[in-house]
Amino acid sequence: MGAEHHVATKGAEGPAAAGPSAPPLLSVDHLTTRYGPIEAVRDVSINVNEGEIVAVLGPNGAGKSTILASIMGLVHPAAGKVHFMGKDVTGFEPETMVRLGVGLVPEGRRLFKQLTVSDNLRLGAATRKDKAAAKNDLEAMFELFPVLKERRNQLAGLLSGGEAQQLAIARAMMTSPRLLCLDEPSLGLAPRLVDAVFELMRDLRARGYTILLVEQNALQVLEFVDRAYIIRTGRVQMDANADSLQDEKELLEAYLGVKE
Amino acid sequence: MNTVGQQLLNGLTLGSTYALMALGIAMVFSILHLANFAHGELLTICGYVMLGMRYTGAPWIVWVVAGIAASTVAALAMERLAFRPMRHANPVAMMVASLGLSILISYGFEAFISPRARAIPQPDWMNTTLMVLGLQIRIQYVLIIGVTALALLGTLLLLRRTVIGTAMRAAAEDFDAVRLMGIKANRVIATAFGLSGFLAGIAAVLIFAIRGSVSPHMGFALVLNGFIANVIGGLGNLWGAVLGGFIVGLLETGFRAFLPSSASGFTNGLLFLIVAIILVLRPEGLIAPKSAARV
Amino acid sequence: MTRLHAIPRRPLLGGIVAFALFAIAAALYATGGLAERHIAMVMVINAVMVVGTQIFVGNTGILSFGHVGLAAIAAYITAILSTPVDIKSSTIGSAPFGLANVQLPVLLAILIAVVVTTIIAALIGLFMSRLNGIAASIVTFAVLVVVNSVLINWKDLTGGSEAFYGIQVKTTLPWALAALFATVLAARLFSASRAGLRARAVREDEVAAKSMGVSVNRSRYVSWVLSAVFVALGGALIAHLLGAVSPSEFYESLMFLQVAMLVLGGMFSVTGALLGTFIVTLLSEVLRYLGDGPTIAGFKLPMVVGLSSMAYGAIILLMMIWRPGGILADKEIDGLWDRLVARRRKAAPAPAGPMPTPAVAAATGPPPAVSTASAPSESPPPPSREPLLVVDSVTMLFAGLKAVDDASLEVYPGEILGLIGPNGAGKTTLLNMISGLYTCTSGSITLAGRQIAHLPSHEIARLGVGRTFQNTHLFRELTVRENVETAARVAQQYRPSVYRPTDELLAQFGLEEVSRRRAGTLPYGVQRQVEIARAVALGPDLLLLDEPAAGANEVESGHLIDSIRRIRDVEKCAILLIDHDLPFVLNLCERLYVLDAGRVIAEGTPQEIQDNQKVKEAYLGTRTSAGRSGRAGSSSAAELQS
Repeated sequence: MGAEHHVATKGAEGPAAAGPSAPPLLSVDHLTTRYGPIEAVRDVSINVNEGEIVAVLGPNGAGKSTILASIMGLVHPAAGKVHFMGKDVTGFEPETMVRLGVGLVPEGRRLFKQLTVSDNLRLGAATRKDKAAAKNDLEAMFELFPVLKERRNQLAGLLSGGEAQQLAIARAMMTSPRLLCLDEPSLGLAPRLVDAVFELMRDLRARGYTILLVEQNALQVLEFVDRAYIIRTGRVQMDANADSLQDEKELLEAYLGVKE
Repeated sequence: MNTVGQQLLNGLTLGSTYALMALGIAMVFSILHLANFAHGELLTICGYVMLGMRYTGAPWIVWVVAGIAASTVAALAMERLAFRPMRHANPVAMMVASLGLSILISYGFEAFISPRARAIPQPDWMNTTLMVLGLQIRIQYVLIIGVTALALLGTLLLLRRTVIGTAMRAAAEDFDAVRLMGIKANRVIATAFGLSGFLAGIAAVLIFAIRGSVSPHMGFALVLNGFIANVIGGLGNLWGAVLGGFIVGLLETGFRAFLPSSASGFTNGLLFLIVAIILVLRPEGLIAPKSAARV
Repeated sequence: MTRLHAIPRRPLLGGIVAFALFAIAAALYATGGLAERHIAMVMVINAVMVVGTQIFVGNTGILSFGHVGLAAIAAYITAILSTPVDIKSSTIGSAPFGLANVQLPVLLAILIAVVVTTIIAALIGLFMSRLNGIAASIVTFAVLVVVNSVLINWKDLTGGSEAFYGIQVKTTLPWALAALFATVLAARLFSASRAGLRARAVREDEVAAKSMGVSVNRSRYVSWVLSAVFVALGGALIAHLLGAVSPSEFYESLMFLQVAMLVLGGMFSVTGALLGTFIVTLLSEVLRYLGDGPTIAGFKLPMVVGLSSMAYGAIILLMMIWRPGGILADKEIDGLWDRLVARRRKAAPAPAGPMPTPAVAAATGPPPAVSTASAPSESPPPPSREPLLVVDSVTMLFAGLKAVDDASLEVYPGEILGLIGPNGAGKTTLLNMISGLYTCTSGSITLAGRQIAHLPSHEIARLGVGRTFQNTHLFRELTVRENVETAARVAQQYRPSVYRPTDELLAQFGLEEVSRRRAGTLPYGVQRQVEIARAVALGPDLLLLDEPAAGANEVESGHLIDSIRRIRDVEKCAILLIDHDLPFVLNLCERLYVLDAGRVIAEGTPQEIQDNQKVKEAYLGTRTSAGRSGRAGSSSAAELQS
């Protein structure tokens, strides 16, 4: 498991031609997770099919990050199941999840600031068996993110916000994931950079990546994702195709709980 | 002139051994926040193994290899048996546990080997002297400083160039993020311990080259030097520990050399005073950690 | 410190009972014969030293290896001062300061020993109290080694590593017990005192303690110096028991022994220290017997040197793996009494009070005496012209990242102000700058006209700024009462005009039922209540609330709105709060500031903010222009360069 597909060679296929009967790549069923004494996630069910970009949106404190943490095994769910590529991975350790092919770009990036850009990237490939493919991917990352190539020997702590976000994404991609999860990649970035991050998401989908994206930036995100779930106070409030969610009023209500 | 040069050399030599010890301690502390009292026992373990090898009639180099291997294995065993069950305990509890382990081992040696110091003879060539720049230098000193330099260089290369070394540096910064790279937590920690044992073994061999004997409780005062080096260098900072080790070695030698003979017994006290002054001025240590902890 | 009429009964009684049990055990053993009597006395004096050490370790959570060194100093001082001149002429004939010719009465010598040792400890404490826990422990280790080294090397004064003999043997069991009595009482009373409570608050949660006005360094210092007094006493007593001392007497073996005693019973408990001392002494005797190679049931056991010490090591190691807190953790004998009483009560069922939910707590409201002040929908007091808090162009740089960028805001007395914005906008950072946990990189913050931007958090708290935290920072092992009391005592000392007794505060927040429970064991909603009560106990003019409605459902947040308004009315304070629950914030706050990417992007009434386009964009993000379609290749990455 954890197929080693090369970043640059997926070609212009667009979203994978998975028929409607193909099982989802990731399926989260009736997940309930506690963060200390609070029930941060209550009975949440989410699916991601191969080749899709799915967004989990909602205000802060809604539990979105906890959903990702539960999938990755950073916290253990109190109830519910997580299946990845057909296999029950509920409660598996993060190290195992990564090796199975789930990559995470964590909230706040969590770069290793005292290490260089190259070091950070190389750590992403640390557990890959095919060293040659890993080396190719490193070059591919530098091609995709030229500024990282420029700053390859600089300490990651010195990068600007946009550059740091690139590095965080590239590092996760170095683990050669089948499913790439991102936790609020737009956090702390200026609007122009946010646009660029979301452009990148589009690119990656075009290259065949499957993406699960957690964000607060609802309106912009809905423009390019395939489907979205809206979460508030730990529960799924709405879930549909992105197109139908773009009605702003409905979105505001579900999102914020206020009637305009 | 000669005296100053001589003492500088002595200080560097002593400082080298402390620096190696301090680095070993720092390696584990930086990742686990464990101040390992039993680190001193890694040195005595090496010593007793070397002692054992003496009775086999093997050449000295074999003793060295066996001793260093023993301390490396011992460190790995410590991690597996004593500290892994405590992985998530608070730092004070872990430090106390390491004290318990240290007591167990050192008194074990006293009971089952010997309470007295036992000699570890050095090969004859150690005592030859060279004349360099008007100084009479014993080969021992060259060896110690040289080996330390190599060891430090080797550690640096390991940390910077290898994946596991890079993972260790990353783990000192953010342990969970390392797990998100798919790297197993146990492996990183075990490597850190193994490396600390290896460095302890080297430090031991060098210390025995000066001291010439091993005794069951010698680890006690030695580990303190390692700890102090860490504290003044900045707890958790690897190169701070090395710097601290050299500072302690140089100061100790300097005091012993330049104080009137009546006061020479007080080097420890004076050292303490200097350490106190350093900590008053910079409580976090000379090389302060860079991360600002978020509330 | 505690006034005489206010000596708390429970710790006093608990201390007496624990002491009595220990004393009886010692006295019983002492009846066995001369050797047994000696062992009993050694046990009692060890207890003096261990309980003395516990005064520091238990209250600060910092393990000390150096107290044995302090005991050594005291032992030698009293030995030098009180030993007859003719004996000293052979041991330390050339002592400096003419000490060889001095002979003081034993009691005076002991007194001087204790005083001088305490002074030395005070000097050490000056720099030690500024270090974090592990570094401080290492320094105490250094104290042990250095003292040993000085004692060995200062031959003229101490006789070096040779035994200093001829010390007058004056210690008797009654005297030792008397010393222990004093030590146990001091330990219990200190722990319950204001100073002890502060130290324990720091032990539990340094950040919260600072924010409640406790000076971290000072509280550690006080514990250290007090513990030195009793450890010194113990050292002096042992000198006058043994009749001879040597540096090795006070080195690693004694330190291991006492650490084992402290750790076995429970570092955080005086009763635990006594229990540990007793058990380890018992164990030592058994082990000594076994280690001597006795014949048991026809088998001759081998002689094992240092079997006891190995056992101490094993005890310490196994205890830390299995139960790091020790047998008793931080429970005192009083807890046992409570449990017995509770068991008797269970037989006759008593009406148990319900656990207060936040809703209930809010509904019970303030006690009748204060109720006249509150009506839930009372309009806010008219803002006075002068702002209470002025934050002026503050910026916070974290390693190149501007978490807060040139932000300014004003808080007027008595108003309820909201701070909202998307995640990562810098709201908590701003709050932390106001309360002093962070120091702003530039800009100024004034409270009632006074510059506070560079003050440490405990001083800002003492000026009347209270706060809660996003992730609760309660003193988890302390009781609810102790949590609130910590802040109340700070108010009592620094702002006596706003001081309110803890009982009153507990009643106001409906926490009387749980006042004896440990804060960490309570349900989440109640924990939040306690945190608010604790902040209010400071009698603040400005109350900072960080996400008070986190985890609350709609009913609970409704009650919280009433509750917060009532606090403002009763305390007459201004409230600045952060939250993500927009209905809650829009309903409660009179004015709002909106933060995004570290900058203030809007300010106004709830209605104005709701209508504000920029705010909507900040929360939901802008739509990109309709014509944008996916651009392949690395051009998007190029966009990310900045």
